[in-house]
Formats: sequence, structure tokens, C-alpha cells
Amino acid sequence: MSKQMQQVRDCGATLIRARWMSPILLLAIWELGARTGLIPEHVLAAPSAVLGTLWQMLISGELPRNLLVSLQRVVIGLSIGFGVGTVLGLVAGLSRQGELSFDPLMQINGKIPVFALTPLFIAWFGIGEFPKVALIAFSTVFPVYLNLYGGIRAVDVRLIEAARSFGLTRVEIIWHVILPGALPSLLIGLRYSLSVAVLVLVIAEQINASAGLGYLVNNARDFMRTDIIVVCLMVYAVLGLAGDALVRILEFRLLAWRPSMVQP
Amino acid sequence: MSIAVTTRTLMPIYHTHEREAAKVVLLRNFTRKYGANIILNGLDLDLYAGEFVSLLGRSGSGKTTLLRTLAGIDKCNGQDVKVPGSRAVVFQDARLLPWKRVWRNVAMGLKGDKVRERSSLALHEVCLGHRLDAWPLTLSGGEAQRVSLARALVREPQLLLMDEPFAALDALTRPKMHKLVLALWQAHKPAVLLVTHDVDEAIALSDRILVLDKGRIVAEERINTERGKYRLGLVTELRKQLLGYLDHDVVAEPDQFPCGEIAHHSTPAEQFAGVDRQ
Repeated sequence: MSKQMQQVRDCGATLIRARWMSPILLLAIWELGARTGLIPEHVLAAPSAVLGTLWQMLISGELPRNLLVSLQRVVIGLSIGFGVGTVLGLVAGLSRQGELSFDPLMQINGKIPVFALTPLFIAWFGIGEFPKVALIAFSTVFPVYLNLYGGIRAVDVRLIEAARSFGLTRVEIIWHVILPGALPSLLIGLRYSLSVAVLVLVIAEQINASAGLGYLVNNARDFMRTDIIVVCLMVYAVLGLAGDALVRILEFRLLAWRPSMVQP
Repeated sequence: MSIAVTTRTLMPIYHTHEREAAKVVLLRNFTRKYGANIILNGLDLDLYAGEFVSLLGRSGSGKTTLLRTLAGIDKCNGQDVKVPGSRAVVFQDARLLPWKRVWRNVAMGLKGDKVRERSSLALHEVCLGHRLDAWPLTLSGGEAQRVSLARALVREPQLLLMDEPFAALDALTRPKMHKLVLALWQAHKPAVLLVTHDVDEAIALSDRILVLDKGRIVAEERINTERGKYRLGLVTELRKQLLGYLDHDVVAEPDQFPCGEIAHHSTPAEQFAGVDRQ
């Protein structure tokens, strides 16, 4: 009798300690609240309703179509931002003159809140695709630049000295010592800029978008469709997770030499 | 003192031309300053081909600065320095590139063909033939230092510079490394300059021991006894002498340890006792 009680108690303790327990509990309360009418549908749709909407949006092609538009904005904007950040980070990291020329500009770039830039970008570029991509590009330059620049400057000077003592030229030292040494920092920059890109995507798509996740959200707001809004929130979260996973895969491939990655 | 140096440089005190030609390193009246700090002060140094020389000195005596000069890490700005073109350094920390596999570290900067074969051969010589494709961060300290030795030897240097290469190794690994270094030296016959602060290590390995102090060489001892376990026994007198060079006027040093502050503080136990008595 007491043994069985003990087992039940152990099982309960394990359940309480499980990491997935609290989200499940929240979902259950949410569903219960919606079903009993405690939470009205125009405030928050029930999880089951959200899942149904997700399914409908998937098979109607509404979600994939708009997701693709949003993804395109992120990919193009991030590519430009990452490219510019990498080039400027290299120039400023590798040469004193480059640092003097570009670092002040980059610091200004990093200090401007993107939200505040939106009106200016609309005034300059209108309300088409261009300002959306430009906003993402503008905001993703800085994390890449800052991390690469810092990574280059933080490369162990003793390794550079050793390479020099073995007769490597400056170009060889940059290629074999400095760039691989700065690569972990560059990937951190990429990870930051990925999450910034998704954040700015949300802001950018408030600019009179006729397609994309932001357009779906705006439309849903006008019609009080909280189920669609929650679906889009889920997609944003998945986008963030996917970005993280992408960088993790890159790290696993490119930083195979790191102790945490190395198989003993 | 400066007159003595001048005399030595100008007068033909070397008896044979052969000996002169066999010099791989020649420094005359070499000085290096960092700001107002004189690190090396009118230093003369000769190293001959194939000889094993140890450079002893306390911390701050200028050992590492001298080695950096010979390694070409620091520029000599027009002073009288002759060093061979082919030289290699073994640093105290192995300084392997963590993102290159072991053999690629050994091959770093090698020109010509069969780079992997040459690197592999060098790694086999230091008994690491089985770790060619390992990542450096998976190596033990001793293994990393052996890779660093292989990286130096694969270049067939005329001058091998070693900056306290065994200081970070444990007491069991160190004698093994000594043996290995001697075997490699006997096989390849580079001139070796070993920077160390370990008198016994210097005695066990060297043909000649130089003592550096305050930026100049203050003593030179030659050891003719054959290397091996009897050498340390036979050179007790030499060890005492060398320790004497290293130990002189330590008291007069401004940065001596402990600096006296510590003694004035009472220990936590004493404080506790004091509180207790009140």
C-alpha cells in the first residue's frame, strides 16, 4: 500500500519537474477558459481553434504563399546586411585606417532604433518592397560588423606571432590564423542578425503590405480573427527557431575543432 | 665595460676561420629598450652550428626578449645581428592553431611538394604518427608540445629556439621530453638555444650555459661531461655556482616577494582570536 503510494508520489514529482509541464498546463487552462466562455473568442481563440485555422491556412495555400513573401524579404535583406557587415568588419578589423574610417559610422548605425527609421525609409523609398528589405538590411549590418570586428581584434596575438616566426606572409596569416580565429564571432553575429531580421520583418510589414505574414496579421486584426494572429505568432517563433538551428548546423560544420564539438 | 666589449669585437680573438664560419648567430653590442626600460643592454652572443646552448636567467632578465629577437618576431632596426635564414621556435605554450588538424599545423607555411609526407615523418619522429588528423585541442600538454617540436623540426632549421618549452609539463613528462629533444638534436644537429630558468634542465641538456642578468650575459659555463644520469651527479659544483648567479642581490630588487604588506595583516584565525579575547 505504502509502496504504491510512494510510486504515485514519485511519478507526480517527476511530472512536476518536467520542462514541458508548464506549457502544457498553460495550454490546458487556455483551452478550458475558451471552451467555458471565460475567454471570449475576440480576445483569444482556443488552441484547438488555432490548430484548425492553421490547417485550413496550410491547405488553402494562404500561409505558405505569404510565408514565402516574408522569407524572401528576410533572405534578401539579411544577405545584403550580412554581406556589408562582413566586408566592413574585415576592413575595420584588419586595418587601422579601416577602423578609423568605418567604425564611427557603424557605431552610429548601431545606435539608431530601426523603428524610428521607418518613417524616413517610407519617405525615401515609398511603400513597396524596397523599404522593407532596406530596413532589414540596415538593421542586420551592425551585429555582423561588431562581432566580426571584435573577433578579429581578439585573435590570440601569440598565434599570430608564432605564424610570423614560421615565415607566413601577411596574407597567409590573415587566411590561416585571423579569419578562422574570428569565425566563431562571425557566427554569433549571424545569429544575432537573424533574430534582428525577424524582429524588423514584423515592423517592416506594418508598412502597407499586400502580402506576407505582417499582412495576414494586420488583416486578422481588422476582422478580430485572433486565431489567425496566434497562427502567425507561431510561425514567427518557428522562424526564430529555424534560424537558430541553421546557425547551429553551420557551427557544427565550420567549428568542428572546438572542444564541445570534438569527439574524444 | 664598454671598452672591453669594443676590444673583443675588434681584435681577432678567433683562432680559425672555420670556427668563424660555423657561427650561426652573432650579436654584437645589442640593445633593446621599451620606452625608458632597457631590456637588453649591449649584449654579445655567439652560437655555433650544432651546439646546444642554454640561456638561464631569472624572470625579467631579458631571456624571452633575446629569443624573440633571434626568432625575428621583434625587428632589429639596423643593429649588428646575424641569424640564419632557417630557424624555428618552440614556444612554452605550444601555440598550435586549434582549427587546423595536427599535421596541417606541422605543415604550416611549408613550401614545396609532399608536405603531408614530410609532416607525417616529423610527427612519427616525435612518436605522434597516430595523431596526424587529430584536433589540437584534444591533445595533452605533452603531446601538443611534441607537435610543436615536429613543427619546428620539419623545417630542418639551422637554429632551433626554445622558450621554456617544458615549463608547463608535469615532472614525469619532462624527463621524457628532455630525452626526445636530445635525440632529435643529435639526429638533426641544429644549433639550439634553450631558454629556461631550470638549472638542472640546463645542466642535463647543454654543451654550454649562459646566464643572462639585467640584459647582459654575466656568466658562461661549458660542460664537457658526457650527457646522462651521471652528469647531474658530477656537476654539483657547477649547479651551486649557477644558482649563485641567479640568486645574487635578490634582496635589493624593488619588486621582491612578498612585498611586506602581507605580514601586517592578521590572519582570519588571529582576528577571530582577537574578537574572542575582547
